[in-house]
Amino acid sequence: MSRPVTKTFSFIRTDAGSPSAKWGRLSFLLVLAGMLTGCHSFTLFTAKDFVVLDESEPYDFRATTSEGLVMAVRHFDNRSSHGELEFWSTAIENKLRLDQGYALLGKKEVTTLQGHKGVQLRFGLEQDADAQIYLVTIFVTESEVFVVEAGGAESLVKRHQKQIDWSIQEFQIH
Amino acid sequence: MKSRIGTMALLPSRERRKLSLFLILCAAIMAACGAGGPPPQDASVVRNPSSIGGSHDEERSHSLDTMEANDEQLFLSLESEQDAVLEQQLAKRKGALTSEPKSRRGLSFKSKAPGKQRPQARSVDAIERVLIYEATLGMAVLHAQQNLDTIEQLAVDSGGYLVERGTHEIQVRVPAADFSRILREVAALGDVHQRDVKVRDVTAEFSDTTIRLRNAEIVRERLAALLKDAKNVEEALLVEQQLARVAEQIERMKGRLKLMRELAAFSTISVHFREQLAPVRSQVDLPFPWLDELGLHHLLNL
Repeated sequence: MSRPVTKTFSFIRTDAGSPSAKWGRLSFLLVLAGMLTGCHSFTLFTAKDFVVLDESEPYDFRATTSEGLVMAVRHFDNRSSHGELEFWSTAIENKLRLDQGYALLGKKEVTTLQGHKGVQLRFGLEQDADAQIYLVTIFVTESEVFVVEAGGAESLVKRHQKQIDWSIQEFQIH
Repeated sequence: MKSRIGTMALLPSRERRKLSLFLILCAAIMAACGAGGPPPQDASVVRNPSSIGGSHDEERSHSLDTMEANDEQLFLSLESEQDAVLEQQLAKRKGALTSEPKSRRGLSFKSKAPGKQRPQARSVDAIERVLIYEATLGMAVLHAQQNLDTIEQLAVDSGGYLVERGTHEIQVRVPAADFSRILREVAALGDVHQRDVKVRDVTAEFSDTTIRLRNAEIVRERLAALLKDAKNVEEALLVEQQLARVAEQIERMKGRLKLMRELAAFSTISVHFREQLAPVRSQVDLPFPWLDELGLHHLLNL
């Protein structure tokens, strides 16, 4: 897969469902995957507080706020596996919960504005009395699995919850 | 039995007393040791009691001594909840005597006609079941200390109490009536990965111990009466020895009953919070390496 091209646009969103006007100018980040490979591309909208990280490996996209709240996207091949949403969400849940010791705090279905159905897992991790929240949202197509991650200190995630929810809702698969 | 009565009639009164004392003590030892096995199906127990306690005063005093020993045998028989006919026979014998020793009035079971329902106190079905509940939860949570506080408060608010508490574990006892509700509330605090609930039915043991205790108390009363009537130091010492043994048995049984009541009244909930990043079980390794790259340590590694 060729290195994704990043284009940054700034504009004010006014359509219904957008974040409230008090957020002001938003950064619109467009990530294009190599079309020749036949991979889907995706679009992740993030609020103005986020800055894109150039070095994102193994992620296709990663952005952070100044306080350390991070959002990221990865996609994986599903053409040979043909896994359904339930399979991948359960595999991820078991890996994090049973192998890595995360506490599963919640699980819900999500739907993007485009109509893509996904599953969001909410995990908690407490280390050295510092509580952290890890959100993993999974979308599945016939050819790919998209994993949208968001995480950071519990207080940060709570404060930016609406922005994270909005980003998930606005997530686009091309 | 008739030959035994005849033999006793020939003995001097002092010897009679010693012999009856000996028989009583033997029976007391057996009762104290909980020898409540199947009733001896020998003629001395089942024999028609009307053959005992004749019309003459002398025979009546002999029969009283003999009946004391036989009563003990009957107690042991009844202890194992056997033939209701035995109860009827004993009730008949009680009615045949006009002046019973006060101690014998300690008999508490009622006379019932054969075939009718057994006395309620001796029927396991009539006794409410005695169940002991214990639950163990293994969980992953955020804010372990805060959740430990919450669990402790849940127990105290319901009328229960804290048993022990550590950094990542806690054990509380809650009223049995609130057990299910509190277990649900505790489970809702985090991610439960292990849940064990045990129920121990100790009804039979409770019932058995209650019956043994009652019998032992009756025997103690009779020994106390015998002690009062002891004619010499030797007799008194013998009786006191048995009295002490029976008293110890009674205290032990009371303690056991108290413990079972306490365990049944309050259920135990033990909660262990899993240390973070500790695997719960070895998971099947799916052939998708990217699954291993998930996690906050990767995401936040800027």
